[in-house]
Amino acid sequence: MLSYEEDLQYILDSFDFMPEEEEKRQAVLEAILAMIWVS
Amino acid sequence: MEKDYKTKLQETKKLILDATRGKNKGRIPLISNDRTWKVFHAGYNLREGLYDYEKMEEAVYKFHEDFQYDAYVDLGNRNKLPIMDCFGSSGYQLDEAGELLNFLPLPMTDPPAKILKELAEKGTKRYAFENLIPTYYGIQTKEELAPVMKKAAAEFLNYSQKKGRIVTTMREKYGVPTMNRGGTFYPIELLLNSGVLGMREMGIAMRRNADALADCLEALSETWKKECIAYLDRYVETEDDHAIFPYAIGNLTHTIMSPKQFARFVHPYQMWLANELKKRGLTAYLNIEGSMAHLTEFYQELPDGVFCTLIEQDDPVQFRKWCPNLTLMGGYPTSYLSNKTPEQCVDKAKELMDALAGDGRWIYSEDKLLSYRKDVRAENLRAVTTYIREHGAE
Repeated sequence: MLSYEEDLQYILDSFDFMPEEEEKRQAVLEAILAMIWVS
Repeated sequence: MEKDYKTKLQETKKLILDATRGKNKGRIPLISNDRTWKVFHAGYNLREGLYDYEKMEEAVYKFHEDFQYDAYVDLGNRNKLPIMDCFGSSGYQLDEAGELLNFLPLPMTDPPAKILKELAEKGTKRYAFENLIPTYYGIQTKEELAPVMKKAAAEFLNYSQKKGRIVTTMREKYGVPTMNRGGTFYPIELLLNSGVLGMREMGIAMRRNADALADCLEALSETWKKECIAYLDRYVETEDDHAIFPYAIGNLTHTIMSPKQFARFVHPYQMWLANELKKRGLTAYLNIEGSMAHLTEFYQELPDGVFCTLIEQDDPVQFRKWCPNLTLMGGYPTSYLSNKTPEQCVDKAKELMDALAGDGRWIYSEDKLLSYRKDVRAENLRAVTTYIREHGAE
């Protein structure tokens, strides 16, 4: 079971090729989620 | 040199915005409704064009150099397939020869009532994360999701960088503005576009779960309205010098709605957004797929001079009569571009120009997305775009 609240940070931490850019990591993840909604 | 492209870009923006506002005294603008035909025109198949950023880039520039539209609804957007492929499916199906691209619906298996209730509670981001990813892609845990999402994020950055290069080159080399800075959907469109509810399921939900659907849309609209307001305020504050419109707005769900359903599930959101745009002196590009002929009374209520409206299946001459408040983009029959001679195509362009261009509120475009190899003969498109460009000011 995936939980947005509990698992989000774990996923963002895996974006280690974008160091020190927490806001950008979140924005990229949200952009990908939006692509799942509308391809 | 810099001044040249900036001047050309601003002139083009003004031309299209003047037409949208009903104030165009100049020539007829041309906006391309191409999506992927340009890939074939550049000598590639869809697999090559959609999975190789450089080939798509080459296709975009060649298409512009050969046909010289003022703006383009697409500058390589379909290149995002590799991002979604990281999840195991792009949501599209490409045939072996790379000639055909079909939408691959991935509908949810839960009953509509359960979907609508959960979606209303969770909102779109959380629902995508907790419901769509497990159902569509079979990913159940954070440990499974992390490497997939990491790969997709890297591909997303790659796509963004390449897309950015196309937009910058179109602007700074050719003086061509981008069509829209962003896009939005009325809440109900998200359900259909994502396949959360397919056509059949949406039809059932509108009849049997109408109250749950209305509640869900109302819940989703809270976040949607906040995001629209923040976005539009920011758009006004940070004047965009290369996008014509703040938004492209996609409309598809109306094709399966009765007027009564449209009045309940779409029109309140449509009017709300239209008024937010008008309040700020902004315009938008409205893409109406299929036919809206059965819903003209609602489109007639939209404020005058706010929307540049692409139509597909409706008669453009009828549309001008139905909706004098909306600037018409499109109406040129793609069937001519694929099947007729250049002379016949030009005759059709003349006919449409005579019928539609009188009030300065017609923008030339095609009546369907140019997508496949046989959608267009290049000599026909060249004849039509040249004719409109050279004679559109008479």
